[in-house]
Parts: sequence; structure tokens; C-alpha cells
Amino acid sequence: MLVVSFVALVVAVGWSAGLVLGFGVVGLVVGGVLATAASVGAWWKSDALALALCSARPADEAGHARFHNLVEGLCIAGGLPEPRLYVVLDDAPNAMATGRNPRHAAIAVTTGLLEKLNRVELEGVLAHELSHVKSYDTLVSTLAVTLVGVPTRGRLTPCAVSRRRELLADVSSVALTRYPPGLISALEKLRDDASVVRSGSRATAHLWIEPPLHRVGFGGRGAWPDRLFDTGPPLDERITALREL
Amino acid sequence: MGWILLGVVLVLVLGAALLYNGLVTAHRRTDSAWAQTEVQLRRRHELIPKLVDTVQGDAAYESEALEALTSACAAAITADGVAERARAESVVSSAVRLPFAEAPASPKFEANQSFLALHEELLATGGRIAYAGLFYNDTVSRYNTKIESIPGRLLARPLNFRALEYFEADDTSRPMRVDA
Repeated sequence: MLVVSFVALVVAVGWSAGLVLGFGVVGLVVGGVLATAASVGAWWKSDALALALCSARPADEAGHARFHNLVEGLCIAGGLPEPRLYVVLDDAPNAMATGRNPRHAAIAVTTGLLEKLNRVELEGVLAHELSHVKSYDTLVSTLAVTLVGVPTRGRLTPCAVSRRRELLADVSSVALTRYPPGLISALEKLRDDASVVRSGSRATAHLWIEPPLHRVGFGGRGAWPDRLFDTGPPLDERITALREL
Repeated sequence: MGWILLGVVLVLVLGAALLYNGLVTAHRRTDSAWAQTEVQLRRRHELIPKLVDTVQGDAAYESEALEALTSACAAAITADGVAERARAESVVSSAVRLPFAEAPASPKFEANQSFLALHEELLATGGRIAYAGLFYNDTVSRYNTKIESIPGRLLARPLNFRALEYFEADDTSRPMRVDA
């Protein structure tokens, strides 16, 4: 849907430009070609772009053994191939997943997350991210980065879709870990933590364990606690939902 | 009239074929999941003799604990059937922890890095076995449900699809599920 509307938009722009300039059909064709190229490029390189925008660095096995071990275990439990792992230097605890399919996925966490959460909490969050990868949520989100990340675009993705995806990912996470208290405790810590992700200051702000998409003109703070109430279910709601399991 | 009958028969045959394929696929998934579990189990079976060898003759390490580990490993290798393997592997999992419980008292503790490294590897493998067992049990659960519910049940009996056993390894290194 996102891709179709994007293509339609660009084609429309191309066509109108063509009309204005007197080229007519040529404008339409050029618009169509450009849009298709952009969409394919977006799809192909979506994860690399998202990671670059966040200044994510590859997480080496020696330095991040716990991170690697947890992901490896969860991948075995979920029958998934292992995604590439990245770390973002930031005190605010947060995590995100990107990639066009499970075979080409990546998970990034902040150093804040690694420090502030204990093993079972971290496992819950990682299982949540892996659930996003498994259900191809990451494809939608990262396409949104590249297709709509330009400042003039603003919000396109419906909030309701994101909300449902987040709640579903929470449930899938628990199905994977068999341990709801892990994720519950992690979400409580995230809720109570007042710090804000600095790196997610542009189009990628919405990828951080929170649903898409956010107006870039939000002072570039990437204030994900604010975005919670804006484009996705509040943490409190997610915690309550998990407690009922 | 004849055409209607033919149509119904075709639909039934098609339905049966699809059903059969579904059962076969579900069964294959359990095979593949078990194969993955076996990889981890075998890895542990190979690591244990290596671990025992590194501290052979070192009086500081409890020989009883090491013997228990070796015999548990031997029993696990010869165990037959998923449920029995699971039980045998649980014994191995507990035995793996024992040599480590004794070691800190050893004055040579710091020196034996190869023991530590192997032991870490063993514990990590134990974790992976638990996860692989989880995945295997999930596939078994789906398969068993398929052959026990209608319409799968109709084909399962005559075609000899039997329910599979679960891999119930009692690994207490993972926190147990809390029933809120």
C-alpha cells in the first residue's frame, strides 16, 4: 500500500510537471520510471540506510557476547536465520529491527539498553524485535524511512496499523521466550526511563521499538516517549495487555 | 447426475491430497527441528570428553563429579527415543554444572583456562539445546494437533501418522514460566 501510494504520488508529480512543461506523457513515464527505481532501491537498501542514519556500528561477538548469545538462542527457538547485530552509542534504552526479509535483517540496540536491562528483560526486547522481522513488519517500517523520510512528506502510515503490529510483536515475543515477566519488566523500565534517543533524530526516529512514522520537524529530538502517545499504543497499555497473558 | 458425482469425487480426492500434504509437511518440519536439536546434542557429547581430559589427574577437581558427567554422557548417547533422550540429557545438564561447583576451591583454578573455556562452551551448548528443544516441541505440537483434529484424523490413522513425543529436558538454567 505504502509503495503503491508513493509510486502514484511520484507519477502524479511527474505527470503534472510534464503538463506544466508541455511534455505530457513523457512526464508520466519519467515519473513512473523514477518512482519504480526509487521503490526498488528503497526496498533493497532499506536496512543499510536506516542503520547509517542512526550511526549504528556492527556489534562484535567478543565485546557483546550476551547480545549475540541471546539472539542466537532466540533464533534457534524461532527457526529464524540470525540477523546482523548493531550497537548505537546512546544512553537511552531502545532497540530496533530493519530489513526486507528475515534473511536480510538487522537488529540494533543502544548501549543504554544493554546496560540498563538484565538478561531476561533484554531477551524479551530482542524477542519482540525478532517477531517484527518474522512478520515482515520491518519491511514496511524501513520502506517508510526511505520513501517518506524526506522532510516535506510528513505522516503517511496510519497509526492504527502500527499499534496492532506493536501489540502483536509483544505477544509473539512472549510466545518465543515463554516468559512474559521478562518483557513486562523491560517495558516498565523503558517507561520509567526519561532519557531520549539522540541518534534517532531524523526519519528513523519511528523505528525504535515504537511504531512508524513521525514528523521530522519534531525538533529532531526523536523523543520516543512522546511518540508513544502519538503514533502507537502507550507503554502502559502494552504492559497491561501482557499481564493478562 | 453422473457429472455431479464426478465433481464431488474430484473435490474429495483433491481435499484428501491437500490434507495428506499438510500432514507430511508438518511431519517433515519435526524431522528438521529434531535434526537441529541433534546437532547441539552431539556437540555437547563431543565437548564433554575434552573437558574431562583437560583436568585429568588434577586432584583439585572432584573426580566423582567428572565420572558422573562421563557416565551421564554415555547414557545419553545410547538412549533411544525422544522422551528417553530428553531425560538422559537432563541428567547431563545437571552433571555439567557439578565440576564447576567444585573448581573455585582449587588453587590452580585461575591457571586452567582451557577448562574454563570448555565449560563455558558446554553451558552455552546446554542453552542452545534448550532453545532447539523448544522449537522442536513447537513443531511437534503443531503436528500432533493436526493428526488429532478433524479432518487430519481421518487420514492419520489409516496412513500411520503417529503422535510424536516431546523433548522434555528439565533445564533449570532458564527461568521457568511464571503462570500469572
